[in-house]
Amino acid sequence: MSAIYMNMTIAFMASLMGMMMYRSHMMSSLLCLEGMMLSMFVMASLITLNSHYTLSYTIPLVLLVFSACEAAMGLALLVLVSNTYGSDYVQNLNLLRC
Amino acid sequence: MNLISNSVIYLTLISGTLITLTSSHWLLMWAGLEMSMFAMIPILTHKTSPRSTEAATKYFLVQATASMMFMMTIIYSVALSGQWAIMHSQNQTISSILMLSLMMKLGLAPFHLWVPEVTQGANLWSGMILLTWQKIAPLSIMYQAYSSANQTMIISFSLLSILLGGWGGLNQTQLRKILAYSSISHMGWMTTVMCFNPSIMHLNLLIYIMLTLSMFSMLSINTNTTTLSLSHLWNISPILANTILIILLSLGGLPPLTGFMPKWMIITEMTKNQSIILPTLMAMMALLNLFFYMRLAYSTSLTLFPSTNNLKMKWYIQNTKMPYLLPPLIIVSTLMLPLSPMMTTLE
Amino acid sequence: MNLYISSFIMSLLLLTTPIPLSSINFPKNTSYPSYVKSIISLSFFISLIPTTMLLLSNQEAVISNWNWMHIQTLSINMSFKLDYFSVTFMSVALFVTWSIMEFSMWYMHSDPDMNKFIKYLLLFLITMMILVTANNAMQLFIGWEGVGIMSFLLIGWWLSRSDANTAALQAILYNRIGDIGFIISMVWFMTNLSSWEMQQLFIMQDEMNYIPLLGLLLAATGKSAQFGLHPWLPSAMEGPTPVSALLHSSTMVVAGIFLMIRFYPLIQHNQTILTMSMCLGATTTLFTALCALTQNDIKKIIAFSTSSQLGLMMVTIGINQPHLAFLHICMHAFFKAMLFMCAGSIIHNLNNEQDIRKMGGLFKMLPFTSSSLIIGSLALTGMPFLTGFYSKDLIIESANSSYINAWALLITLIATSLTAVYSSRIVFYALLDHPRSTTTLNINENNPLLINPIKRLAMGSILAGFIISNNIPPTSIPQMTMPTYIKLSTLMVTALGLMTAMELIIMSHYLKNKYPNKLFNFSNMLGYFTPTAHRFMPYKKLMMSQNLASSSMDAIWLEKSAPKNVSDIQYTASMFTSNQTGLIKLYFLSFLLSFMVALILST
Repeated sequence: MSAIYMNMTIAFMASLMGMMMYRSHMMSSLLCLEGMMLSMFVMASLITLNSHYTLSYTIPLVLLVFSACEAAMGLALLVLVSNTYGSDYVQNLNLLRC
Repeated sequence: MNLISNSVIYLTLISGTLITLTSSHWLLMWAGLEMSMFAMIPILTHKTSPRSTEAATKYFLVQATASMMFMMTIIYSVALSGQWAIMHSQNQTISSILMLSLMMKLGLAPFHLWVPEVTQGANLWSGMILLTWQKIAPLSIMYQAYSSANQTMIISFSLLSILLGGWGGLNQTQLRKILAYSSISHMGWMTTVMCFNPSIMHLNLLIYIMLTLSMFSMLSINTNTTTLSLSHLWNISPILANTILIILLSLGGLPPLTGFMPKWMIITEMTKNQSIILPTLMAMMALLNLFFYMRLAYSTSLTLFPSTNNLKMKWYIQNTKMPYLLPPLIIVSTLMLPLSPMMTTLE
Repeated sequence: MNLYISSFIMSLLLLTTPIPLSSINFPKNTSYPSYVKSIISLSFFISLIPTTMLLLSNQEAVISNWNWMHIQTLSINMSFKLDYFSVTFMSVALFVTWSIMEFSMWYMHSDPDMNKFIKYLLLFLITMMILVTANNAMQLFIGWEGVGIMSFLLIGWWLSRSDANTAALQAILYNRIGDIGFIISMVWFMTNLSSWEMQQLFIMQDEMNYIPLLGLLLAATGKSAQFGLHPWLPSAMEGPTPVSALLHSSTMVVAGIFLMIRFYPLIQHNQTILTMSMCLGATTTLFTALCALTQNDIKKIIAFSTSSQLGLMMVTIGINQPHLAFLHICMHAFFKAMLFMCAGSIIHNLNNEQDIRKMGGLFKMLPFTSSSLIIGSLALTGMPFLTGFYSKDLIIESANSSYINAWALLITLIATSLTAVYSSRIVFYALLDHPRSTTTLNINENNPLLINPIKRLAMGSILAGFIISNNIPPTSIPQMTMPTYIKLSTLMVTALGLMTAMELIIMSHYLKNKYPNKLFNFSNMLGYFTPTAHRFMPYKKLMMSQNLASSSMDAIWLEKSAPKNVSDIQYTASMFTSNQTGLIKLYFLSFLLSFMVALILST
């Protein structure tokens, strides 16, 4: 595995860890999601470029489109949460406890 | 919400699942999952309230993370095998991560914690979609990818979800949470039998969806969300109270009813595969589910709950909701056991 | 020959005629009891014909009447055996029952259901006849069970008394244990020999093993109240006195001994079974004689003496002298029935008083009863040339002069001397000395219904031994020569017992009663057998069951281990697994952890 794959894997893992372990701002969770998405975009681009799949050139773009949608959705929810709860702290979301 | 946005949302929901079901390309499969997830968020926040916002946020974060992991495994398998078509992966670690991300999407134990809360935060209609339609796509992907994953892991997680579904439901009075836990248990049954005979998993999914649909549509007639409100159902519609009893027994898997069929076939299939301890354990854990179904049925239809005099006049209020789909659903979800010889030939 | 069989059948059939007659409308001017009595006496006289023919020409016969059914190779017939045992016994039993019937007409005259009582007695006799004359095990079993059931009904005749009910239940339960033995033997015969006919069984006796013989011994133990299964016999005294007389003289209790006699060709070559029956009989005869010593109930003393005599009969079978045992059965029937009747007369005249300590001086008041009682007691102890002498003397003699277990012989001799002790005790307490009864009593024994039967039986007690033993064909070779002291040993032990008893009674009569010591208590409490078997063991068993049920079943099983524990486990687990706080960070952390664990474990 070349260094750039390793680099991107580590980037993904770091974002995943941040997503799973970070515990205050919801904005940071969304940024972690974006980080995962970006590392995947870079990897997908590298694979398609390295293997010269002409038909696969659009795939990273599709990924980007979905990541944009996801980011938009996340930000909309962020707005909704901060409207309802007054802040974007994740630990505020505890109404639905058992 | 107006008609256009509604139709766009539901079209996205339906087409997302259909794309996943029909695709032979990893990217499209992932895209279908994403689409149905995106469409689910507005459905969950249909009537904006702090609870629905929280439910939607939790749903979004969990599903998005699971999707990311799913996509990452796809990219790795493409990097290893060089093609996007769905094939059996040779690398077991990648398959296991794939399975784990799908379990997270599906809400199998130990990734089940979000299911009861999100269901509780949403209204009945959204909860129904969450517990039925949203299960189809992840299960279909699992169906295609299970053979390369670690079977022991799948079976042990399935057993765990049967057990945790039962234990969780014991402690609840909220109907939507009870149904969410029951869905966790049923998912456990489905993924267990997936390793032995996947077509029985399809049958089980079908029957589970029928039962959950009829249960939710009965609850939504009077918007019952707690055991207490359900126990006053006899004031409004005694027939419905009795039907709920039968549907709950069918959900628990008692013999003359439809719900018995998948459990029967699963146990038969597993005993045919020289596995005795596993179905015994599963059947005993299903007793937990049966216990809280029975408790629900007891307070709904087997006793007259104490109530004030005003409540007894409720029958006077005309019911405006006419659930046309309910009678056939009830028939399908209770009386289908005689069809089981035909079902067994479908294998 | 024809007369032999036809008169035999006639006397049997005659007995059954009153049974259907009782259900149809009986003529008002005839009393049913006297009708039954006449029928029995008629039957007795008819039965004298085959008996005489048997005594004269020593001919035996078998009648096979009717084939009932086949079970593969086993055929079940109705067949009668007319041999020495059945024919002689039939005459004796009919004679005794005739007297008892007449006696019960006097004794039970105030009973509202007297006809039913008489009918029960008759049925009892009929079943005994069936038992005695049977030629196959099936028929014998029918008579055997019929005797058991009728004894249950008769002992529990006064059904409102709980004592009577308990005694009846005891009788039927102990008999049931014996029946099991008989059934075991029958099943063994059926499976191994495929026959229930006596002759065929006797022909195939080489194939016998211990199971059927032990079964027969168990059956005899139950029916004849040998040691271990004996407590029902003294309890059976709760029934009316005629029932006791019939039960303990000619029917029921001798059925067990009769069974052993009937099957003696099977037993006689098996030394183990013979020794077992001898030791059993010796134990019984001593134990019950000991128990009889300290009883105060007159009927109980007589009952225990019956039990002791049954033990003696068992000893006789044990020394391989079945004919002698049979002779003793016949002799015993006369004087034991008479003793019971005398006791009945005394009890009735003293207004239902059974305690011999409250009697006394009856010799003046009831002269006839007293003389008969003394005759009976002397006959029982084996006074020379009374009836008991002819069999008892022979038994002791042949026991003395045969190869025998010295222990059993000693025990039997002790029991024989004890016979004299308890007999003289009755005589002394009930008949002699001053009256100790309540004063205003209408003592009257001048009723022919009472006098006649006792008179007949008293004649029998004096003469029957002489007549019978002079007329029967010799069956076993008697000991021709023996030393004088052996010949006299019976008399000596009896006289010794008598003298000891007299001495003791005279010596202790005017002394203050001592507090009962341990030995007295042992004897008076029937050797603590009844409290042990009937109280202690069921009590312990019930207590143990209750403790087991409450502690192990309820406390341990229901509360601690199975249902409650399962419920507790589920409750705790449910509380533990569903205490989410609704925080996303906790979900994600748990997801991460399980993710890692799953990956590490699966790859």
